[in-house]
Amino acid sequence: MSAIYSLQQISLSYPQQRQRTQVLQDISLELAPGELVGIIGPNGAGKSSLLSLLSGCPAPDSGKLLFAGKSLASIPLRQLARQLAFLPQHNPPLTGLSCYQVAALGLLPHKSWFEPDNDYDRQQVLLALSQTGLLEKQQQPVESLSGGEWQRLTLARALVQQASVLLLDEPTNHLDVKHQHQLLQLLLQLKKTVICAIHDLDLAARYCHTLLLLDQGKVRAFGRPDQVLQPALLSEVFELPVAVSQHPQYGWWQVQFISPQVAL
Amino acid sequence: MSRWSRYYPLALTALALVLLVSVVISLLLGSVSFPLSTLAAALQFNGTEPLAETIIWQLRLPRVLTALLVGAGLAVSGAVLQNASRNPLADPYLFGLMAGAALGATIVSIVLPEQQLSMALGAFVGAMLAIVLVLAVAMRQQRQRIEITLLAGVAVSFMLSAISSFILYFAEPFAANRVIFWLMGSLSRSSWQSLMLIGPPVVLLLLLALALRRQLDALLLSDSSARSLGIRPERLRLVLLIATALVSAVIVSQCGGIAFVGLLVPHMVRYLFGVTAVPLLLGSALLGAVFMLWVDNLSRTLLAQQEIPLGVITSVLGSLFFLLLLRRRV
Repeated sequence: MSAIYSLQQISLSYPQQRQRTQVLQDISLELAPGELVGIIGPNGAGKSSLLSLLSGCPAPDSGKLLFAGKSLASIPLRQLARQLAFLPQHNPPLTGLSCYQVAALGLLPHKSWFEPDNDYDRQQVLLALSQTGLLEKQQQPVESLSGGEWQRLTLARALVQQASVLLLDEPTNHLDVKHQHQLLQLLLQLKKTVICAIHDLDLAARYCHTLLLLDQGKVRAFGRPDQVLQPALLSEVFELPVAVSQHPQYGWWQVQFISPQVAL
Repeated sequence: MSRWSRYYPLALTALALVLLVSVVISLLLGSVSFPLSTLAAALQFNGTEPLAETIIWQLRLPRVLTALLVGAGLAVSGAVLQNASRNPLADPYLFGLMAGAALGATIVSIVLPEQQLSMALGAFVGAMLAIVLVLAVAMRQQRQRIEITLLAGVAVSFMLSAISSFILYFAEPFAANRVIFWLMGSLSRSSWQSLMLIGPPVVLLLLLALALRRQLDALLLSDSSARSLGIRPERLRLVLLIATALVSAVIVSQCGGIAFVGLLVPHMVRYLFGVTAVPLLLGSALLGAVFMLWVDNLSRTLLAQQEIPLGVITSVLGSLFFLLLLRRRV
């Protein structure tokens, strides 16, 4: 199967106080379609930058970035939006829009100027809201949502967008344990290519097909969870002693950081 | 969502009826008043009421229709700018467009009176100057930031107003008075010709904004969300800024400065009908038209023999509303 993303020697830097800060360096990898890929690494490792880069903005300073075999920069934005949805991390905006209205924005890349929404579109929106458990809140203003509900609403919008590739920045961030698992299970069930930055290594190990460990803008490891979650590597990157074990009953990989003991 | 937003088609219909009644009343109001039957006869234009026909067709109808289009145009411009900039306080004034238009008109009528250039042309060029200045500052940022655009608009507004004031200060008093009164806004110069100038840009702006209704809603979220939906926020904002600049330049050139309508009306509409683009745009157009009609009626009937400048009435009402809005927000 050909790769959905192909990155060849990608570098990215941001201007900061009259000089450029290197955020991604010499990244080369291929991501297979239909997988749930977790990008892990400490703060400032370049997880969000990599996701932004995969969404097409900003473009890399150097290197080749292919999406489904074509140069990402050459694909018109509107056409890209039908295949790719980026869910950046931000709080619910003070708009006064209802949940339904926000989810319905996912129709945008599929609609021409004066084309009205039809019954099929409305069903798609309601389906996405019910998949994300927000059907009852459809008439509520987005300001009234909790961080986790807003997170799910942006996913609902991406579902309406019918994109085959989802890029998510810390999707489990504001969620309680139950909703973390619900969201990741939903992402798995969607059978889409999902690439998400994720902090919780246990969740990453449990749900992701592939993990990408970033540190200081460089790829430190890329592969199946058992290949990436090596104690020596993790303790070097996260600067804490690590114990990696397998759940005795279910076989999931579990990561435990062993912080220095502080008297309670 | 506001209380009645689900019933907005009904509310819009009601507003359209209010507009129709307001138009009829406005046609009847004035220094010469007629009964409704005379108005009906005059509108048929069959020669039975020659005086009424002249007054209605030459004076009142173009003025009433101009008021309607000016109100709708300013309110729709404000609604579009507020959504595009995600700032509830944005209106054509804050982007420096009106100050630019005023400077253009001042230069045309005071610095270059021999050239006989039209004030409309001067105002339009001035408004474009303001927008170019604002965008030149805002575009230099690596990532376009809305606050910068707004602040640049305020600064450009001050700068251009200062130049206008400087020119007016040294101008011959009679010419200066003419410009100052012109800046206060009036529909007394309305004619079929000015109507033809104002009408097309206002209608085109409304159509453009309705065509871009989903894009306008998406801009409310965030630039990155909008981009993920296939929109280029910078380019969209540029298109909308230029379109609203065109409309406000034409309006200010024909009618002078009419402040606050662009700020006041969209907020009332949001409160009544909700924030999504379709009810917001149609509601703003209708309510703006009704509001402007009644402001103009007040302006020409409040004092006998004399008209109160429109800008004075809209500014008084506008600032009262503005203060109430601030009280609600704190």
